[in-house]
Order: sequence, then structure tokens, then C-alpha cells
Amino acid sequence: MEEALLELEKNPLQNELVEQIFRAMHSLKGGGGMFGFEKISEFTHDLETIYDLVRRGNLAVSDELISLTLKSVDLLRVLLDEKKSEGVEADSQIKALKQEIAAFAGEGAKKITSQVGMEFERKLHSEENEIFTYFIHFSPGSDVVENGNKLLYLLDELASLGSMATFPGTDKIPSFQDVEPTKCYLFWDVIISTNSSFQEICDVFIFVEDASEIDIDLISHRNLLEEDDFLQKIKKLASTGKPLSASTVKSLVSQDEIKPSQNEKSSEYVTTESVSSKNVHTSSLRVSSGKIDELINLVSELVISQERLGLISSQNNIPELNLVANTIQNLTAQLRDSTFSISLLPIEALTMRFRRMIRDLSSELGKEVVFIANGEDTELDKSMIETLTDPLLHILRNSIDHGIETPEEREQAGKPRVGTVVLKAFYSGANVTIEVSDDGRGLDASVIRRKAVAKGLIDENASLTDREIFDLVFLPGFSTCEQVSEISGRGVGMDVVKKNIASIRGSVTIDSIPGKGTTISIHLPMVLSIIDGLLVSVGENKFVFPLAVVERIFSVNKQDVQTVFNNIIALEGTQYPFFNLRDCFSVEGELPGRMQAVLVNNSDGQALFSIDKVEGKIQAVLKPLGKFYQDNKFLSAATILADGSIALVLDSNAIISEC
Amino acid sequence: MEKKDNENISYLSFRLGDEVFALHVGKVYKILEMTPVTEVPRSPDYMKGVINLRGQVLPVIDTRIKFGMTPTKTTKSTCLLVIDAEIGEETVMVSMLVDAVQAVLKIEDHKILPPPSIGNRFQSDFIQGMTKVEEKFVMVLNIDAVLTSDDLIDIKAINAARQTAEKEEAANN
Repeated sequence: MEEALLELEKNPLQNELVEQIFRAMHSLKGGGGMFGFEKISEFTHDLETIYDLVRRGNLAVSDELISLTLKSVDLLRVLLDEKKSEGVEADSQIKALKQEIAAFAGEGAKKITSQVGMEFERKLHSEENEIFTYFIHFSPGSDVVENGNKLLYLLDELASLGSMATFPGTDKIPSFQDVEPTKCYLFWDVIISTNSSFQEICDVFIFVEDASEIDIDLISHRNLLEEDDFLQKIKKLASTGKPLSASTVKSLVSQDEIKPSQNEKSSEYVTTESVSSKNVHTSSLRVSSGKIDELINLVSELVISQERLGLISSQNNIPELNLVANTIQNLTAQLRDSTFSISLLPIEALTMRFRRMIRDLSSELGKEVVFIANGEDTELDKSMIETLTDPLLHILRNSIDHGIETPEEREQAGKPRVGTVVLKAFYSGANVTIEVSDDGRGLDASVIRRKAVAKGLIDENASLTDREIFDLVFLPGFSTCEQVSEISGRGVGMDVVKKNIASIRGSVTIDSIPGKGTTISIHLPMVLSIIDGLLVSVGENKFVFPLAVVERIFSVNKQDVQTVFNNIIALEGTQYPFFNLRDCFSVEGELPGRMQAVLVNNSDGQALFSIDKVEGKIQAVLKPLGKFYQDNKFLSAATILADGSIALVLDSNAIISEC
Repeated sequence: MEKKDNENISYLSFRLGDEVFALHVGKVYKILEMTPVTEVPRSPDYMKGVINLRGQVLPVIDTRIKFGMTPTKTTKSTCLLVIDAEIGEETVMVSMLVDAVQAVLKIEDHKILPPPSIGNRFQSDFIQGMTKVEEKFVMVLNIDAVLTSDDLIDIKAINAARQTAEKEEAANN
């Protein structure tokens, strides 16, 4: 609902969105009433009134209205959280808001009377006189009762709209021993003559429409239930035990009124279409994450077995076996990709929440800020997205609170009044990078330095690069803002941000140009549990480089490696930082005469790792090394090879920064 | 019901050098023959490496190093005990390298004596109790504490404490 509101702010003319809000509000109200949160339902009722006006086109969407609604949504959330809305504070808030809403509604109402006035009333009047007969087939989903819906009430509500004839259907009831008391097996065929509109009938079913099969068809422009002839016919039809359907009922009608039914047909198509479009929403499934984890585990096992099959088929040259092995390899790869995409979520899930926060915060601080999100379709693991929410919120708050200047300051500095905060997400190698940049005042290295010296975090004479100085803000107890605001600046910020991001094996860096802005980049590893890897051997041990970071493979001589000076090696005219994995992992033994080296992309550029031999490309199913090796930063996981032995997956970034 | 009682009092004994220890059978998931261990570079000495147990990667602890003895030399009797250890709030599967697995002992609860005082207090946390098997004292390990701690265990202090306890026992008789 919140999302729809913000969207509405952008496109005030979209009726669909208004509908969406209205419906959300309506179900909130109904739900509130049903479960005894009377305050909520009372409160939403007022809001709903306004949106009803908007919906009918009698009230234009304005900024004011949206602010008001957003405020109300917040309050509702408070009400829901606390559940005991007896708090005096909440009560007074409700009152205040209610008054605002009432004022708004009043204003709206006035407008209507002046604008639409007589015409509107006349229309209402004419509608009242007309009575239509509808045929409704209502077959609730079997677990509809579990959600707390009372079907009898529903039918009562329907009956209150007009005169009604109901024919319950019992065909779906199983034999007695199979009956589960919590399930609903009944369905109803209802013929109702009413002056209510089609929409009003639909509204009755608003809580059950997702789980149920509901068909509403207009069968006549007259009140058929007052015609004895029709009643007798329909009763006869019902007593045969055959299920009723709109067309059979219609056929009864059409015998006497052929002409009007032709007109109706067109309208009927329209109505059934609108109903079926609602059913599209139910095409997604809610599945417990446990089931997905299980599926992922099974696929991982399958991949290991498939690798083994591949090994066997390459050792025994049997054409048929090779063919099957290839097919299975392709299928497993596809299965793997689609399984792993299940638990991935686009970053959009995060940015939606941020839009709201930024809107509130900037208006609270009197700043004008535009928030732009790029690469919202970049996908991350759901658990990662959850861990990232708080750190990103904090970074964005900092940008707006400390980074972006007030509109006046900005004009003086010759910048556009409106500040820009950009969130950019993209894949880089085996990492996902999320950048938050603003065009605000930037970080002042000298201020940070002075502050760090004052707090005793660094030595006064320490020579640090700007970047190193910026990194100081990640130290616990550091905050540059002189004034502590409610939003940020309590000094519990950036260190927690860094810690949270480190907990999902990510890293953070800051870049800033004074007066121009600040960019904070978060680098996250992709936690897919199967990766394509390059298998290499170092002495007796086998290691895996994620293939995504591997740029190319060089061939090097033993002498080249032994005579490396200052960890730099020149190959084909380019100098690369160089690491001998034998030294890094203290592997003993004689170096082989010809060695290979893997050129790896990392966050700061490229680096070369010497190894004994490249074994080949594998699909590596990542297995966690577990608690006992969690301090080992160089190795991110283990994987089981086709012959059952274990290879360790390297984190080249960590090796480069620590070795 | 009776079966459960039996489980409660069954202990598995194993040997490290000349010293015999026991631990509750409920903690032991499996006993494996020695298999090739993949070394994990840059980890503590007592972390021998990892093994593949039916697709699961398990850490291997060289229990002898952990107990302050020389590294394990693989012999015919060398075994891996796969343990369900509770570390913090998690249950972690770990395998421990031991010189030999001896027997499953049935020890009733009241025959388990309180642990002797060993060296410093931290060391005695590792011992759950002590019991007499064929006139010799066997230390019952609190395996969760052993695996949670990063410290090495002082086998000499334990040895000394056992001998004192045995002497006291002999004096009483």
C-alpha cells in the first residue's frame, strides 16, 4: 500500500493505484473490525471515505493528501504493533489525525456538492430505481475458514443488498470419514435481485476473492425473483441436483426476453473479464524457506553426482554413456540455475522502503532530495537483503543529514537546489556492488583527521592517505557532526554498518570529494552455493578460484617465481602484484619446473597467483567450512570433487589484502 | 523406558597415548576408520583439516595436540569419532582423531564421582566426572567444553590428578 502511495505521488492520475490503495484500506478496515481492533477500523473508515471520493474522481490527488495518508499508515503500524492501543499518546494522535482527515473529507465533500451537485444526486436516484438480477456462483477455497472468514456472515451481507435465492451445492463434500472439520466443502449458487451495483456485490467478497472461485453474472435487467414463473423454473432445475451455471439460468430467462439479453452479453463479457483478471494475482506461491533450502541441497548433491558421472564417462569411452552424461550435465546446469534463482530477490525490495524514509527525512530536515535507484533488478540472496536493510538505511540517512546541504546553502554553492542521492547496484565479477552516492558537501579529510587525533584514535603525525582517513569513520565512537540529531550522529553508526556488512562477508569503502559529494560502496560476495570454479593444485592440495574472478592463465618458469622482487612480476609487458600460493599457505616441497599463474580481478585491480598446475573447470558446490574455520578469511568454503576428495575455495580478495 | 535408562548410562571409552577417556555415547554420531584428511592452511595446529562424510565437510581435530601431546601418528587402530558438539547455541558436527576406541561402558549415574581438582579451574571444566573401571580411574569428558574452548588441555595436570585420586583410593582400602 505504501508503495502504491508513493507511486501515486509521482503519477497522480493513475486510477489503478487509487483502486489499489482503496482496497488495501478496505481490507485493513474489515480485518480490523473482524479481529476486534476497533480503533483501526474506525480510523481507516475515515481514510477510506476520502479515497472513495478520489476513486470516483471527485477529489484530485494532492501532496497534502498523500502526506496525510502516509502519516496515517505510520500510525496504523504503531497500532498494529502495540496491539493494545490503549496508550494515551496513540489515542491523542488518532484524534489529531482524525480531525485532519475529517477536515479533508469535509473539504472534499464540499467540492463535490458544488461541482457535481445535482447531477450526481440525480444519477444516484436513477440507479436506485433500477433492479438487476445477478447470478453468483460462489465456491470458497477449502481453507478459507482458517483465515477467520465467516461465510455465513458473508451470505447475510449479500442478502442485505436485496432479495436473494440461495442454492447450496454439496457435491464436493467427501465421505464422512474424510471430512476435515477445518475445511470448507460447500459452494453456493445465488440468485440475487438488487439495486446495488456490480462493484458493490464484488466488495462483499473482498476478503475471500483470492482464495475462492467467484463468478458474478448479470442475467437480467428485471427483478426476476418477483416473477413466480422464473422461481418455479429455477427450483425445478435445482432439485434435479445438477449444478447450476450462469448459462443454464440465463437460458431460463432468455426464453422470455430474447432481445435484452443480447445487450447483456456484451456487458457480461466485460464483467467476467474483470473477475478473471483478479485471479491472476494468485499465481505466485508462498513456500517455506526450509523447503527451498532442501531443494537447493538436493540439487547440490545432484551436481556432485553429475560431476562424478562426467568423470566416469570420460574415463570409459562409451559413446552412449557420453551422450547421456552430456544430457545430464545440461539438465543439471539448467536445474541448478532455476533452483538458485528461487531464493534471490531483486534489490527493488529494499529501495521501496528507502523511498519512503528519504521522503520523510528530507521534509523533516527542510532539504530537497531526489532519490534515484539504478540497477534495481540486481538480485541478491533474501537473507542478505535483510541484513543490508539497516546498514543501507543508516548510510542514506547520513547522506541526507550530513551530506546534502539545505536548499539555500546549495544555491550559494552554485548547485541545483535539489540534492540527489543515487543508489546503484551492479554485478562485478563474483561480487555485487551497491553504491550510495550524494552530491552534497562531501567529507572533509582534515576535520576527520583532527577529530580522530582529538579522540586519540590516530597519532598526530601519522601520515595517512585521504582514503585511510575516511576509513576512520568506521571506527567505533566516531562521529563528525557537532550536533547530535535524532537521525544520525550518535557515533554508533558507521562501525555498526561495517560490522553488519562484514557479517555477510562484505566490505565497505568511502570515496569523497569536498564540495562535490560522497560515495559509499558496499561489496558483497554472491552467496550462491554452487559456482563455476577453476580447480588448481598447489603441492598435494587442491584449491578452487571462483571462475568469475579469473581473468586469464599464464605460464611461468620456476626461476621467475623464485626471483620475484617486491611481489611484482612483469608478464607480457605488464606489471602485476604477485602472490605465491605456496608461500601464502606454507606448502613445502620443490617447485615444479613449469608453473602456471592465475590472473585474478579483485576490487582494487588485478593480481597474479602462482600455482603448480591448473586442473580444469569444475562446478563447485560450496560447503561451509563451519564454525571451526570461521576465522580463516582466506578460504571461503570447501567443495567436494568428483573423486570424493575435498578442495578449498579461495577468497582472493582476502589473500591480497592480508598476505 | 528401560532402554532409555541404559542409554543414559552408556559411555564410550577411547585411548590417547596411555590415557583413557570416556564420553557419553549420545554425543557420538559415528566412528570412522582413518580416511585421508585435506589440510586447511593457516589454521591452528590442532585443526588437522577436513574430511568428506557423505557429502558433508567435517572439521578434524587432532585430539592429541589439543590435549598437549605429540601429533597423532596414524596406526591401524587410529579412529575418527564423529561428535555432535554443542557450541554456543548451535549443534556442530566435528570429528576427533583418537589413538584407539576401546569399549562401550555401562556406568550408573551414582558411580560417576565428581571431577578431581586439576591445575586451574578452567582445566577442570573439561572434565565432567571420574569413574573407576577395572581398578583404574577414567576421566569422563565434557566434550562440548573441550571443543568450544580454543585453549589446549594440559594432559599432565589431568594425569597427575588421576594418580592422586588413585592413591587416595588405595589408601582408603
